Amino acid sequence: MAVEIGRPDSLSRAMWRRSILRMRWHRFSRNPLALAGLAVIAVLVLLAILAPLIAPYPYFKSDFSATYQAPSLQHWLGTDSLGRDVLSRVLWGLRSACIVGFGAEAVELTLGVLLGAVAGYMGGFVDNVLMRVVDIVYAFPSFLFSIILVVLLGHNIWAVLIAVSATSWVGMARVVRSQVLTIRQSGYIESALAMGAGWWRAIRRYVIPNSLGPILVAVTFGIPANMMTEAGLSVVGLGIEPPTPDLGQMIIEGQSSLFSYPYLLLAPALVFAVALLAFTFVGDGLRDAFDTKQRR
Amino acid sequence: MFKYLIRRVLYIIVAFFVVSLVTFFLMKAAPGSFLQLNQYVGNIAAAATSMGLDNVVAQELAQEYHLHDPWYVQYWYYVWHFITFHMGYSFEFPNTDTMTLIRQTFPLSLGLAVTSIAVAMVLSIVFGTLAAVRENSWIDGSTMFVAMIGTAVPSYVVAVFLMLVFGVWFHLLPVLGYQGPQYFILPVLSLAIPMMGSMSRYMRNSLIESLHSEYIITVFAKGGSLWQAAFGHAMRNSLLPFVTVVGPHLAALMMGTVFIEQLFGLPGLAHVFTDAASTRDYPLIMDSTLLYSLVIMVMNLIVDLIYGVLDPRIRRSRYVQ
Repeated sequence: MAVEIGRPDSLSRAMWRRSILRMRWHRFSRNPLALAGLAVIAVLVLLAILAPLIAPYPYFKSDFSATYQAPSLQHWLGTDSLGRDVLSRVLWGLRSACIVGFGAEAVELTLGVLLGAVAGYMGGFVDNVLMRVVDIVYAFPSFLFSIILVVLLGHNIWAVLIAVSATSWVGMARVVRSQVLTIRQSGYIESALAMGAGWWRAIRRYVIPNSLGPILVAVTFGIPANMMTEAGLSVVGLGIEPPTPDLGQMIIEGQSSLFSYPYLLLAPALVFAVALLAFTFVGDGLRDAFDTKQRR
Repeated sequence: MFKYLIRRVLYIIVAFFVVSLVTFFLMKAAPGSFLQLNQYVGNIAAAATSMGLDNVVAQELAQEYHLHDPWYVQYWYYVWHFITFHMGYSFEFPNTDTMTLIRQTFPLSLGLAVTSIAVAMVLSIVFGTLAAVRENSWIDGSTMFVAMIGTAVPSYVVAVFLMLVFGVWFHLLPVLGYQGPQYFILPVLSLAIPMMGSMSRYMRNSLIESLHSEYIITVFAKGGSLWQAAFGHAMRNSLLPFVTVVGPHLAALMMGTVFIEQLFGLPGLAHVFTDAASTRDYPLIMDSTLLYSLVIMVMNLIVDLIYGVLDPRIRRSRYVQ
């Protein structure tokens, strides 16, 4: 501390760091559930990325002399109705879930930030029009709309990604807009500009740190929501087409042989539930750390 | 209030037309859509003439789907027939028109949704109150942990776990089909548990907030018991915000029935819709999409009106707007 008193510039920088992001991280890291969730997400994403390398068998390799096997050393989670290795399929299914979960969220974030910021910043007529559009998309039965889009675009992973993000960007646009409005009203941007800060500096130092929380929370809850829609499409038989593995589709396959081979259902359902829970824990942790009152 | 109602209804009408336009154009663009049947009908007609037959069938098809008319006339017929309940015939079930099909299946979907929301409300009031009154006890901890899982996991995952536990391991309840009230228990629970997550959490938090407020301290000062304070005084102020968390669940609930009817093999409208989507039964898809969006929008309006009735402050703020 004594050293820094003589250097006001580094002191202010240290204080800024501490007062915004460090403080949030400190508060977040004291929440054991949130930390555990973050670790689980890291592991699952790593598994999804490495699926082609670490999966013990190709996901499509069937073996008709070894169908419906119980978990064993060769097949850690057993085999399914076509003798395919369940572990490999779960890993690849995790990959599909992550591609759609993160990919659709990226689309939503881009659209939502762009439109929300424009609406919030311009105000007036533009804001009015954009928000009416958002309201109408909000009134759409979004899952039905996703179903229709998938029927139109085909049952591949990119069609599913588009179908998932087509309606869910409106939530993000609302969050961003409300953030922009709050920041515009708060006056500290004006103060910063009055003291000679440039636009870029104002955005980087004040706008981003102050609007980060709610957006980060929305993203963390958005990813599992996308995964749910993606798997949900498979549950009703309209998702990613076989043989590409998908957790929702595996859950349905397991459900059809529920009484005879319950572990076929357990593996994908548990992995899916754990992934969703991890995101929820992190989201709750972030919400507490950033002190936002939003829920999704 | 009246002005507000009118504005909302107008708004629903606008949204309804936008939804119908979007559905119409998506369906028109769809591969093999009946609105493109023009060319097929043309082929049939050509084939018929070349064989020296009357092309009656082709003409009838063209007439039924208004294929010779421009798109806005086709669109108008689509909406008009929906509004006047003269919907067309589905491809899969050519002998029953869509309206009959909807009338046969919609009550089950609606009953499923209404029962689950009622169950979810009652259970989360009970558990939320227990957790709040015994704050930081094991009841509180375990209820909130289960609630957290409920918020994270979708209805279809809850459903398969319930099937596994109650159907396979304990053989207590049927898991497939619909032959009596006991076939309704697991579907209702699967829909109610994810809703209970946020609802019971909200109930607990708002009740705790009320219990720490000053008028409750007055109750204690006058010698009232904790239960008296909770049920006689705090509850009334917590139930109102509780109604506001129920609202957003309604739309999600209608979608939840899609999964649950599919998983449990219940013959509801959601099941009809997903079947229609996978068999590309376009007339049925179009009409049920409109019906669903209308139901969701009307439900949201009813919820907002109920808030207004319950809380004079909301009414006033709307009036100012």
